[in-house]
Amino acid sequence: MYYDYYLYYLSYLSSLYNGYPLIIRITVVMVMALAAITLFGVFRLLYIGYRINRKEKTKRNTEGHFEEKLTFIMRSKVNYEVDEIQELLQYDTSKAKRWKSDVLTDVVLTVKNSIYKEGELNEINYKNCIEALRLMGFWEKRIRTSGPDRRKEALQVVGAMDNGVNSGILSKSTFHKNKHLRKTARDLHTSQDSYNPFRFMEENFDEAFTQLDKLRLHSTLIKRSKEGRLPNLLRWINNSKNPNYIVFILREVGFFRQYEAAPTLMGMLDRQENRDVRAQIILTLGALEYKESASTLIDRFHLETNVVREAIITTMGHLQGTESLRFLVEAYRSTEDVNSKLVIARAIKNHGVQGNQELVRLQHEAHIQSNENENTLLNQVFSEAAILPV
Amino acid sequence: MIYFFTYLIYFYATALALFYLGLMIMSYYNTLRYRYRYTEREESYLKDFPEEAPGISIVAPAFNEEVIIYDSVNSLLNLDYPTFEVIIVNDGSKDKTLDILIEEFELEEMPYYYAYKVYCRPVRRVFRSKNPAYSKLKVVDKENGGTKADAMNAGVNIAQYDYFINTDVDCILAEDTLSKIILPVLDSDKHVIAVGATMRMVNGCTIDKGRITRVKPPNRLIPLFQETEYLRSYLVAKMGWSIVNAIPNVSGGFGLFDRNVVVAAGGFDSASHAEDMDMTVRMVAYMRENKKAYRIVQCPYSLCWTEGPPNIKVLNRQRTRWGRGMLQFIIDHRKFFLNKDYGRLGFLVMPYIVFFEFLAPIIEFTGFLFLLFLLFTNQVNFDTFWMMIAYAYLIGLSVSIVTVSYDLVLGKLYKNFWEYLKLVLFSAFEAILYHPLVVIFTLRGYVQYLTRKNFKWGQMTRQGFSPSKNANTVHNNA
Repeated sequence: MYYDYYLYYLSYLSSLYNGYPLIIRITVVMVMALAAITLFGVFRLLYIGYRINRKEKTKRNTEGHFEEKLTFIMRSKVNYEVDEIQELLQYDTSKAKRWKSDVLTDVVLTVKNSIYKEGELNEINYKNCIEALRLMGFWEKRIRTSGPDRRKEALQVVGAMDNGVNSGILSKSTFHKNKHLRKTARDLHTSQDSYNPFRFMEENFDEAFTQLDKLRLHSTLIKRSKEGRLPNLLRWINNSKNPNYIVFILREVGFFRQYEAAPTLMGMLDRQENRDVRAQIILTLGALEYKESASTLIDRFHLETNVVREAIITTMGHLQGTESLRFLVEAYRSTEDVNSKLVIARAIKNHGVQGNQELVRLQHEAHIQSNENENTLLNQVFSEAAILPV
Repeated sequence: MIYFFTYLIYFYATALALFYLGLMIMSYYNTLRYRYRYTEREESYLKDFPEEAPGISIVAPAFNEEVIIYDSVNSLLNLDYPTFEVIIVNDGSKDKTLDILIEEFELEEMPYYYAYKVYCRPVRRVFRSKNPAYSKLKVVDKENGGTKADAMNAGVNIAQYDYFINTDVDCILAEDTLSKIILPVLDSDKHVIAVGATMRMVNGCTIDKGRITRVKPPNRLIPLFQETEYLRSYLVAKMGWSIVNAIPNVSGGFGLFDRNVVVAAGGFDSASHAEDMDMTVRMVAYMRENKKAYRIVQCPYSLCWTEGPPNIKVLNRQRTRWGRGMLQFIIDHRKFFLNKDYGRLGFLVMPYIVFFEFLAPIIEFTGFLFLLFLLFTNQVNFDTFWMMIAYAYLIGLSVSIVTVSYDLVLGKLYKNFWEYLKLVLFSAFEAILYHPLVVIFTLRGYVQYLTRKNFKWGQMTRQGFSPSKNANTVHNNA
């Protein structure tokens, strides 16, 4: 279109710089390219602004139409059928624009979350609302057809909707080469699948396992534990060689108070070569308050690395027995490292009245030896309780 | 000789244009990727499971900041994150900074075994509050060290968490700053040693009790230009560099650092005029020397608002200091330049700093004078002269406009779309009204450093965050 005109003006521009050195002619091209980028930038800015304004307006309209009705339905003690909800919402899904489901999902989730926090959510009505608005279909289609980034976003929305998901739809994403998409899909599978939810947990979850995945899975396991008792988590680390994953599972064993795991953990302590794993086993024993471990841990103390030693001290603070207190006091006296002394003193303080008496005794010894540094250090530990907990 | 110089300047400008084009493409990809990767859902995990959220220490030095200290500390204490502490380092203030802190936050001196893990001037006292509402606050009172680096070291020594934020008390952080800045650390399979984020100008914003209630572009010209300049630096340059793990500098105004790596690298250097860039590079060098994998990440979201220079006088002070810092940095760290042992630092970061940051003002200044000389000696005609000027002008303008659109992609911060257009409109004048000043002041900084003039830390006129408080001129060691 208008090809001749463009050619004419290009030739005209070219003729203006006829005979000029090549460098000038290149500059002309560069200037034109930069001018084009500038113009493109301005139009793009206007377009983004227009889109944002349109989305805000749609959101306002959607909220205005649905918020009150959805609140009424989800809060209601009466269970409504899907047809009844469609009537109440006055919403014809066959005429709805595709992008509207996006905004509508936001509104549904906002209403659901606020009612859930108040403890008044009618789960049946909530799920029927999702069905009445055909939201699952919209998001499942997006999971099937979009690129990795939008697909990941869709998976997260489906997770937030908490309305179950068809495993077949996830299968393409659970083995995708994009690790972020893959891990989100695997987490969603663990959270929503009803047939074999812990499949990926048994398979090391994912080779690229990060702190953020720990948080995601922690959240999923809490959700699962509310629905029913979790299996013994230790069985998931049998096949794992990833220390990060093993440490995570060990932490969860402590968090979910799986007391029956304690004797197995004692056995693992001797077999584990990784110091971070050993330290976490010890911390988990502390979280499980497994007093039988005290003497074994005391025996190990002098042979272990700093990380594990600190874990032993912290665990001793949790176990709170005469044996552990005696050990901590001895450890305090024998260590020269200020940081370790501080950790030990805090663990001693955890032993309540007896612990405080021991600290006073240690401070008295420091006073006799005119050891000002130690005196200040113990004063610091005392003041942490007196002023505020650290 | 004339031809050689002409070609040199021309190819430099072209290299710069192509370089920025590359960075624009990389940063666009990175920004979109970041936006999809870290959503509110990820942030909510940290709030829903506070026991799992890693602790963060916020270290903010204060030297004669009586006008803003109350609002600033209040603002920091009210950040939305489960586990953090605020460490204010009173760097020997001569005004009522410490008195205000003690009185307003009910502080009490606590016995503290202070370990000097990195060097700083002697610490006199450590305070904590008796009031549980301020349990996250620690105040370190120390002898004045004359630099921000010294005060930062005092804060780093007392920080209890593995990551700390390096900021200033004149900065206002967004409420969700901590959850946004820690996400890349949690999501990386490599050790993240630092994270930067976008900074903007607080001038023009509406503030209530140390919180920004309405984000607006600055009304005055210099901060307005600086807002666009900051956006270019953070959203295009640093976001682009972040893809290849070659961010040259995590800003001293706001950045998250790994405390153990900072301590291992020797802490902030009090003698440096660009302590942030110096620290970033030394951390990278430490990781390379110890053969440890690392990442430095840039978060595109605007998380920190700082007071920009309100007039030319303050801009002059700021830029001459940056100029001195730049030259000092290059001389101090010349051993990294094209050194294969330092990988990207040697072959990417240092050459970029030398060729495109250090040399830019020199070439721009001499190039402009040279072009004028060619024009007046009739060696170029007016068409060519204007073409060259348009070329240089459009490089800056196009990057500015694209940057503003990137900012809008991340979310609408200004209430009005017209406020974005204001940034665009004024960026058209930046090359004429603002950039020449920046070039001259930077060159002045180079000359000052070379002639070893007696350097003074700048003064900054604090307006205060609360409208009721009077403006006051105080020393600024930031």
